[in-house]
Amino acid sequence: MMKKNLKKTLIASAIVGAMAIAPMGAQAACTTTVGSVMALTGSLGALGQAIAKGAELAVSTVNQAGGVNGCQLKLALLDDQTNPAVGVSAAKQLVDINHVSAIVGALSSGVSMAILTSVTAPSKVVQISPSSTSPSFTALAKQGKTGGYWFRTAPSDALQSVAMAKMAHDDGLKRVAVLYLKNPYGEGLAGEFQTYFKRMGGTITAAVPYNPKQPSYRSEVGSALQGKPQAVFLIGYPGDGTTVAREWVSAGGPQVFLLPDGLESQKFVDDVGAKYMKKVIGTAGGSVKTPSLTTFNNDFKAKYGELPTQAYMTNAYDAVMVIALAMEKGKGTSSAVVKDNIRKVTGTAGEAVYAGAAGFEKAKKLIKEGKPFHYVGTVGELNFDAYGDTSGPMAIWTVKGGKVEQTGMMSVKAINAVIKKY
Amino acid sequence: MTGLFSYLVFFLILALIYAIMALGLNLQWGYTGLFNIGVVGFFAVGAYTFAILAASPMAGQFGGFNWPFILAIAGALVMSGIIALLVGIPTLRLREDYLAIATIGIAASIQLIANNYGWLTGGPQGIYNIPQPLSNYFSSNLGYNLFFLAMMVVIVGVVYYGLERMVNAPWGRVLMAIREDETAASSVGKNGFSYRLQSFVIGAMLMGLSGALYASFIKYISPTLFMPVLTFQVWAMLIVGGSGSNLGAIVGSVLVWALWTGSGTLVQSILPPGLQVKGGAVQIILIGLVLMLVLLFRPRGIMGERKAIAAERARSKISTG
Repeated sequence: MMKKNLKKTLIASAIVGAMAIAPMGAQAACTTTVGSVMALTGSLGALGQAIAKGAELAVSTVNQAGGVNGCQLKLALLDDQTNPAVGVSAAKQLVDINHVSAIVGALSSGVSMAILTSVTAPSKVVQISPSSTSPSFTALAKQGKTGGYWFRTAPSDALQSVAMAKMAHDDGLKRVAVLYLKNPYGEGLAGEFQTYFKRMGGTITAAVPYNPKQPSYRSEVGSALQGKPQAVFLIGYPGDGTTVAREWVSAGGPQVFLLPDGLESQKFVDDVGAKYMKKVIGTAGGSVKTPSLTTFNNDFKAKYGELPTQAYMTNAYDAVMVIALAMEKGKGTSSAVVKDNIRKVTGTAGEAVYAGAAGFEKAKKLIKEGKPFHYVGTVGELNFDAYGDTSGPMAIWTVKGGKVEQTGMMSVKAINAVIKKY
Repeated sequence: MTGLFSYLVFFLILALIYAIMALGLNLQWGYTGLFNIGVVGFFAVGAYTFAILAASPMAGQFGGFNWPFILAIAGALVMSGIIALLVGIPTLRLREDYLAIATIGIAASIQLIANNYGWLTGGPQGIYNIPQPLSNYFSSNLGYNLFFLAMMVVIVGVVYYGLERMVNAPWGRVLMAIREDETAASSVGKNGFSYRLQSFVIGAMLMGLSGALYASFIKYISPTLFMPVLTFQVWAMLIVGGSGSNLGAIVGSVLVWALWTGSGTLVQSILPPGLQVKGGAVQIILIGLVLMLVLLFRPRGIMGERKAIAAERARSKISTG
């Protein structure tokens, strides 16, 4: 029975495959492969399977618009099992055996960094991570060790910290405790926040890390409460973050919460109890509304039958789109072409091009006419700096009547002004 | 074609790094019967020691001593030996399952220390300024990797030769005697604890060596790597290759690592585009399946022609009990 079904499926998929290729055969006999290393199993497995869908959607969008340089685009997706050793092997396979010129991934900073130092930088292959936010990448790029082949479509945590420090400062807070999850995300956010908040004249009463998956965080909360803070900057994800917040409230901590994107979650607010959160100042990256985001949401629903819910799906989509556009713009597929043209298809110069097949077709037309353009990502405008970092605007959110609500935006310009001033 | 060759070189380097760990575990388990399931802990100690000694200085971070490669490797060996000694003295008095619990706990503690003592280990950000030996003398990546592979072959060769000499000497026969029946061994005047400690420390030093070589080759380490799954991988390598055989440990490492990493490409080429995101799960199933088949058809491992310990032990338990 199983075998019969398998046979049927195989035959059916062969027919479907043949049908998909047949009309293409006339115009696109070639394929261009983009590599991708993501965590499909392991501790980030659930996240990774969703994020990979974002990348796959971009590939099918590009193919709808006729592919890259007339060639069918293909995604070679390998699993890194959230393990750096497996991740570097997967990346090396993509580079050596699949001959890809660009890799989208990995997700966790620990895996991305291992791939960057041992595979993509020495092999001179472009690597774009959709979700690695550790500031270490900027430091490595500043030493010139990435060779300019490293990019990321998720902004470094440094930007969000600056926005948060500014919001807290503007609110008149002087003494803030920081409770952060002990991982690259938590550490990155906490570190930069402390630097800027202190420069603004504030005091960090305590900066206490906590490890994931503990039954109780009473001792961490206890040490964070020493020094009488006016508010707590709580960094983490729902789950452990909820436990920490509850214990903070029950230990008598001030009910003023500064919360990053990881805790911008209705479930977190509901689980802690909105009535215990007298004041919430929240920040989150790249939630700016563009036509690209609408197109992404619609296309995603059409392809997968559900709306995208996972963070960084859009960043993965943008990573693939940027690679495809760079190849189209440079009329080639080599990694040098991709690297040199990424900044030419992003930024703010020329006409705006949005996501979706129509956007890609428009970009093709503009390239043919020799007109400048820039791709507006689903996460907003993409401005890659010399170190491959993007800067995006920050969304400001709060909790009103028990509901998470976006209240404003802090533009790239405003954030840069803050960085310059302090 | 050059692509495949280049990948093969890269693959073999990593496989041989694992092989050194498997050789260390073989000395502990295969020859002495020490149930160490904290392999990754000693691997981590070696990797971090090497990184701290060999890396260039970084702001706000202990270490960055810029030591030459050979000295940093020696430092990693000494450090993992010291840690093994500290761990071994209290725990090697424990038998079988208790030793297993103690070692797994120690490996978890070492991972947590790596994650939390930022001044020492870089914390979750890891250490990324790790140098590769002689890398300035090579212009191409493949050329350098070939050099590194040659170095790995020499190192594994030396370790293999040394272990073979040791286990075939009277010293090794005492280890096997202890493994088979410690009471009998001590009745002829052999101090079981002392021999077990020696075997444990030497095995752990090999794991530390492996960690140092990994750090040097990948140039970056972070706590994400030092998870229990790595211990499992090394055990799988040893069991598949044939516990109790040094050659088996090497062969098992290459085969299991090929399965672990190569299955991804295989699965990816079989699955239709719509199911690619499920590829990771299929790959894990495949790995599990092959491991089970090997155990079913070659329960003593591929090279395990000698007495398999588990079988021997079961038999001796039946006869004594």
